[in-house]
Amino acid sequence: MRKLRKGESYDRTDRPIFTSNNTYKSPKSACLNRLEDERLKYSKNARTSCLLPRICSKSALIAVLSGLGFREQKNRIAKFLDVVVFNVYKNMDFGHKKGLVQLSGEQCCQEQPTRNILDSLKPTAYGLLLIFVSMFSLSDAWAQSGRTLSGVVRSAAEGQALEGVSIRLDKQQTTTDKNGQFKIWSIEQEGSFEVKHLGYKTQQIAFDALSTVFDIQLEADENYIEEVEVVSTGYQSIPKERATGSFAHVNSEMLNRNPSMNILSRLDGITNGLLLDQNTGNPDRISVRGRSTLFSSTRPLIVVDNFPFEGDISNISPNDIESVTVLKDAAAASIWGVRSGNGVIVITTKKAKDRFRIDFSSNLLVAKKPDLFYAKQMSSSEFIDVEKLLFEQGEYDRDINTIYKNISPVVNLLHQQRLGELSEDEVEAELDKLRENDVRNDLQRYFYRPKFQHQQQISISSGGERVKNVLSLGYDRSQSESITTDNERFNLRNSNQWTPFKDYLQIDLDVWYSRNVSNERNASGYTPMYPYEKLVDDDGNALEASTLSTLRKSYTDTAGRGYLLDWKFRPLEEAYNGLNHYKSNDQQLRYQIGLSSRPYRSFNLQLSYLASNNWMQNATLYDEKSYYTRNTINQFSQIDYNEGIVIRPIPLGSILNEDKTKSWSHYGRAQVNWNEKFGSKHHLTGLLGIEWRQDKQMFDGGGYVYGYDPFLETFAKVDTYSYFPYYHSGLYGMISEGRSRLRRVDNNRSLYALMSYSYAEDLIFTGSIRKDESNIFGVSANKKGVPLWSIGASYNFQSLLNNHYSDYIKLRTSFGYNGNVDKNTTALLTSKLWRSSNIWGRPLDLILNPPNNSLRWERIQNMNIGIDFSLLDGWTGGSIEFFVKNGKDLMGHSPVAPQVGVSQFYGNVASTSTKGVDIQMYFTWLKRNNIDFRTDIIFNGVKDKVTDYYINPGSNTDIVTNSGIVPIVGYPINSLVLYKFMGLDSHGDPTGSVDGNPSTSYSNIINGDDRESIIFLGSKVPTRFGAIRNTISYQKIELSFNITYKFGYYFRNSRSFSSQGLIGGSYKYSDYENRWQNVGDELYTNVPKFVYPRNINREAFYQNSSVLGVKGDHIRLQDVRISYSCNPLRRQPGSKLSFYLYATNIGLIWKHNAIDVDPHFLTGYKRPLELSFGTSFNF
Amino acid sequence: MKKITIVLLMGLFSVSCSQDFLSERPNSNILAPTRIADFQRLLDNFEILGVSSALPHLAADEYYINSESNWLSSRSAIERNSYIWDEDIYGGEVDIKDWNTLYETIFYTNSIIKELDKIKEIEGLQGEGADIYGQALFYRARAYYDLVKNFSAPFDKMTENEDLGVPLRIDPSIDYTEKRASVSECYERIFSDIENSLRYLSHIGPLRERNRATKLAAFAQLSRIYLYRREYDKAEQYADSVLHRYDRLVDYNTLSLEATSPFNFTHDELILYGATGTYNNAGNLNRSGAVFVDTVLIDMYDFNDLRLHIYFINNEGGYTVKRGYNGTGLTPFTGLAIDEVLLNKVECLVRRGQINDAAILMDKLLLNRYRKGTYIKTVFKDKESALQQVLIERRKELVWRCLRWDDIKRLNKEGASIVLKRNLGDKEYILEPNSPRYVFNIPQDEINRSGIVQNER
Repeated sequence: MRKLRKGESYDRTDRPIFTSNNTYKSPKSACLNRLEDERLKYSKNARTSCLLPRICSKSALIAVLSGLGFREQKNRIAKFLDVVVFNVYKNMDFGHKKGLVQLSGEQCCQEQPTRNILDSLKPTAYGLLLIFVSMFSLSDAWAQSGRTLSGVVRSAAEGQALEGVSIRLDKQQTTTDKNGQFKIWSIEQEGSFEVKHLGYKTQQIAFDALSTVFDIQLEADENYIEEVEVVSTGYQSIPKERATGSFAHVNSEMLNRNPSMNILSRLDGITNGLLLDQNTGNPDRISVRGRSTLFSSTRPLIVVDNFPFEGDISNISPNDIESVTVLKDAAAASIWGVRSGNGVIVITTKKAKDRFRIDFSSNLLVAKKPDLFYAKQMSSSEFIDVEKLLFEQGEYDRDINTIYKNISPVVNLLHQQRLGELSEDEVEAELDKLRENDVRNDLQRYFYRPKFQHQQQISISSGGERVKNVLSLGYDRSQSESITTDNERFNLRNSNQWTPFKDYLQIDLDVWYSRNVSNERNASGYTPMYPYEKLVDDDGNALEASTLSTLRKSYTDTAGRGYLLDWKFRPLEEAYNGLNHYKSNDQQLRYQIGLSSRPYRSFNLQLSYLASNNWMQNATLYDEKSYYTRNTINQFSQIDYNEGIVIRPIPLGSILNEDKTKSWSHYGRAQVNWNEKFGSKHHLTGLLGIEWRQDKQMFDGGGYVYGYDPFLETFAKVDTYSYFPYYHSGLYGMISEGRSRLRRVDNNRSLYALMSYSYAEDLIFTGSIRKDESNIFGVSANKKGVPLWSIGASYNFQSLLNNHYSDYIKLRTSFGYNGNVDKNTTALLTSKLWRSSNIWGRPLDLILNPPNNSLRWERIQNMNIGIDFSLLDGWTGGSIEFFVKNGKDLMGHSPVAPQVGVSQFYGNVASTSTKGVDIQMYFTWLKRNNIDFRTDIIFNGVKDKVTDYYINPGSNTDIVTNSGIVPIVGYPINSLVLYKFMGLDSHGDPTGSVDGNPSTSYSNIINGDDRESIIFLGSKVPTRFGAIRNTISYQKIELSFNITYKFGYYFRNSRSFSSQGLIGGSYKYSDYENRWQNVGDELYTNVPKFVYPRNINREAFYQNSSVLGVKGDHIRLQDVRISYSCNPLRRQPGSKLSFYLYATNIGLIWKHNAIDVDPHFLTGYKRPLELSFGTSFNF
Repeated sequence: MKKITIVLLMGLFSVSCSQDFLSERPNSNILAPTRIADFQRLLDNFEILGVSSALPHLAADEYYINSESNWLSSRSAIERNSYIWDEDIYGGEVDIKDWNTLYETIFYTNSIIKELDKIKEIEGLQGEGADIYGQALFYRARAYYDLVKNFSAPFDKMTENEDLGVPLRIDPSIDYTEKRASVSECYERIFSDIENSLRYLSHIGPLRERNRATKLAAFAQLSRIYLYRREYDKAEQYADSVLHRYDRLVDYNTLSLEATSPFNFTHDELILYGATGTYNNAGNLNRSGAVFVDTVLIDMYDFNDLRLHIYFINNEGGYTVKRGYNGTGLTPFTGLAIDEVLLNKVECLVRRGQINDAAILMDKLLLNRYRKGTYIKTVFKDKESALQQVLIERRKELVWRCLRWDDIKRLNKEGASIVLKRNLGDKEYILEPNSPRYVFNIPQDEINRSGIVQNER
């Protein structure tokens, strides 16, 4: 996208500029000066008609001179000739009535890139042409009456030609073409005309009898920064004012505001219509305009430089990205067919500039250690009391009776007391010691550290007329808050553009390499089983602890009588020595070739091809000293005590588990574009293309390598076919081999077309159509899919209104269909290999998918109405859009009666409807010389509901306790529905509603279908969200802060006390101390009493009762940024040096919930404040 | 440049012209089963098809829990509630394997039968294809039998048309639900499936792959079903069908008395593999110190009876069970074996008064069960005492196989008046003969979603 940047302008002191105060300099001197300008810019498109005479004379001379060995002087001569020719032609006026020869001679001088033309045309034909053209020109001159004013309009800052600039002279009006050129007819000899363009200051240009050619430099109106943009759909780039669809655009300045290492988090809070939330249903946590599918993928399609990006989005360095466009409605996204239903995010990388330029940026992020005490939990003392109680009830007796089964230190002490090995006082003393411990102290001290991250990026751009190149290198490293985790990313990108034959051929070559290396040195992890566990003794030695796989301490103390390996697990030792080292290495090489040629008129043929190779290698090395290895070896060991030998089916040595995934993508596209103007007002553009895409993936899970020596790369063979007895339990098991291979192929073929017609540049109609085919199972079914299409229209009212209050008012609307494809289902009965073999050595399969003959692709009907506006000279502006999305033939997925034999039904059975509004506005409160104050507001409202569903949910429990989505007609797709909570009864048991009365007959409530017993609270996904960003700048200092908000959603408090969970050993309850304990407590608390044994229905009721539904509404201070920028090199006008300080995870300003929880961090710890310092420099 | 263009264009066309581009298999692991071998792999999924319900074991009197606290600390409500024959045995638990896995088996077999029906219509089924068709029919019948005996009233010829059976599904489509058929309809389906399977199954058996159905398995299954229905002539007839073809027994003198897994997956007596779903209280090698083998049962064994040592371990507190006929499996064995067929035959012989033939056959079994040289020949005095002796032998031999519950139901129908009792703390729980609690509840999620009639308990 093109955008003017504040503080950036070319050095044009010696050039004639029509500045906003309308000072006017002689066009003659302007033209001459221009020829002398070393940084002369040439327009790419030659107009042959006026070009030829000049070339003829010049080239003849040059041909002679160069033949004589003056080749090195060629450029200088060419320039000299330009001056000569200019003087000859400057007063010749080729202006004429509508049509034929359009440019004046003077303009030819200014505009033509002489050198290239000379190289590409042969001088021999010039003579004839000269005669023809001269005659033509003369005949035109005769026809003159009145005169043509012509010229070119450029942006003052970048010198780039501006298209679509409105030129108005009296009642006449025209706009500039692609090259920024215009002509307008004037009857008067002198007067003035208006030059007006969105995002630029309007100018009145005066002219007199002598002036005919104008070089107009428009100065950016900084209020319009967002508006002057070119949006890219991945198939075409269009100026936003010519679009009928709904686009959200994020430019490079906004992308760089947040220095996060991941592009998606950079988009958070600044992108209109985009939501980042954990309930969006995809691992990237993003959604565009809400959800329009039930069970298919909700991930928006991500496109990088025209082609879908299938890899890990975190491999893309955000510093390489120039802009991001989010395609939201049918007119914008339908061109992506069956993958556009969730919206499309188009990422455009930085392209080469046509001058030498270096950009360097560096960023450093630091954050404190996390606070593990953020989430409340039971105290050690409380937990010990419960263990004592359960011990008396006999809960642990089964475990105690199995001599090797792990029991907690407390249970062990109590057991010893029962056996009479310890006295009650001794036990109490020991327990009191344990009551003092909190494992979080040790965890926080030994397992966490301050987070540290840095990013470095340098890009070198160079280029001239024919070749442009940008090379960028990036290196990022992050050291996470966990002492064992770090990550490293390296990016290399080279983008190259050749234009050897002007319009006839343009070649783009992009090569991109990235490498992402992640380390987790404690892959086995450690989650404390008891809150009082101690990890380090007073002398600083690592202590043993329990995990799910550890055996009882008293057993491992003596097991094997010294013949076995040490059988203890010491978490600190594992972590500090990196004994379980997981390393992932993700490399991607992507190269893209694009050929573009314009063989005839405006017809443009584009061929592009992208190949991408991705190698991903994950390996976990369990050191021979690791608990994992020792445990694996020990459990299969057999000891012959008589002979004193140990037989180890798994030999000593490390264990390696490695897998590799290789992915190839080949995408090819052939596309014809055209862009024709008919008469002065009709403008037709379009494209037609065909595309092939193939994604192949080969997974090779190498399985486990035993007895591995990482230095010698040797390993041992083991018997993975026989059953061996486990040493401790006498059960049997096989040594896991873990080898597996998998190949995936995803083939697609698509045909698409797009058409756009505009009348007088104000009224625009667009249409698109696309058909997709792919190799998913049951081809005949997916071929039935109807083509997806869209139509759109927009109208710019400004010329109609013609007032001073509005600068720009455009109404646009679109309608059409997007699609969503679910590749996990098929029309056929399918099965897959489940286990490599059963106990008789035969392979066995699992039915994956029951046959479904009526399978269709999902369609999303999408309607959008929007208005774009700018009022009061840019004081305010923005866009307001309403949309309706109706999901049709959606795949439905619901629990079915077990007699069916599958756990779920899956088919095209649902429809949904989503309505919403996207508002984006800015206000320029203050704009003086040095002080700017501006506010940007984003508001998004989305309301979805299920309108049709084939299967009605049966009992209340199917609606309430189902962890996924249960579509209920008339309610939001992702609803939070809970049992109605009626308080605790006098026994401390929670009550629900049966016939409107409090009741503890949980089974009736849960299994019944009386919907009075359940309450719909609301959507789980925010329904109103957005951001308010204030930017204040004073001279070179800028301060901005972003406030984000999310409203209209609920979450379930999952940390409330559960008796069942506590019996099972969980202690992470925030409200245990508030539980009911005595009669009368029910007046003050809603937390039920502790009951033993487990009562499943009671627990299922309380854990899903409405008292635990919490409103998630909150307002957050998302970030604050302070920056200072200056230009240290005065001679390099484009250069800029800036420093910034950026803070995020600052905290909530307001939250609705009373349980003191940040809705973003419902579990785990809260991310501490992060501070970034950075600098960027470019020249 | 031109070269690049040509290469590029050729590349594009080569992709587009390829016939297979849109029919390439998207995933090497996933396939649409069409070949015969594809269906065999589905049938080999013994972890679904080989599983039957453990409820009859949990409710029967082969084990006891030694204290109320240990009963309370059972890992699931089903284990707790079925022990005391509670009105609701699931206690709120859903996704009950004892129902679901059997219907999953029915879905598998229905899918296979439907696909094979297509092939059958076109080209007919021979050889392996026919065999697989037979296996699928057999497994469908086996699953329905397990369901109908557990979730319907104990079989009674008089009321079989009124008694509610289970939903009968013979179409794999997943977009419909069935109401409960009558018991007689269920048995009609079961018998027609097994009889049909006998026409298609090509192996007599047993095969090395003991999960695969054979003619032997079909006969043995029929013998078991008819015995449960108290149609003793047919039970005997099918027992004969087995024993005429194959009657090998394992001599327990050849087995290790210490081994916790005395049998392998392919031992001689094993006709067809089968096991229940997993429950701690039903598990083999239970070392929790809570669950022990019924002492009355243990007392029945003579010291020289090797079964006492091979089936059980004398742990602190009582006897617990070792692994049984399913090799290293930890769940009760529910498959088919020669000893069961032989005992069916013996019982039928006794019932029709052929006590001498019965004694000869009994000796044949018990010679392999007693320590060498210690076995004293069976002498049956009269029909009545012979029957009592045979039934005791049946308890001793077919222990921990989920057969005891069905025998109690069957014998109580004949007036045996077997009363079951459990003691927990100071409470005593009693299950009267022919109590409605002999019928298990249908899982609540099934009732909720398909609205079929629940059993009265």
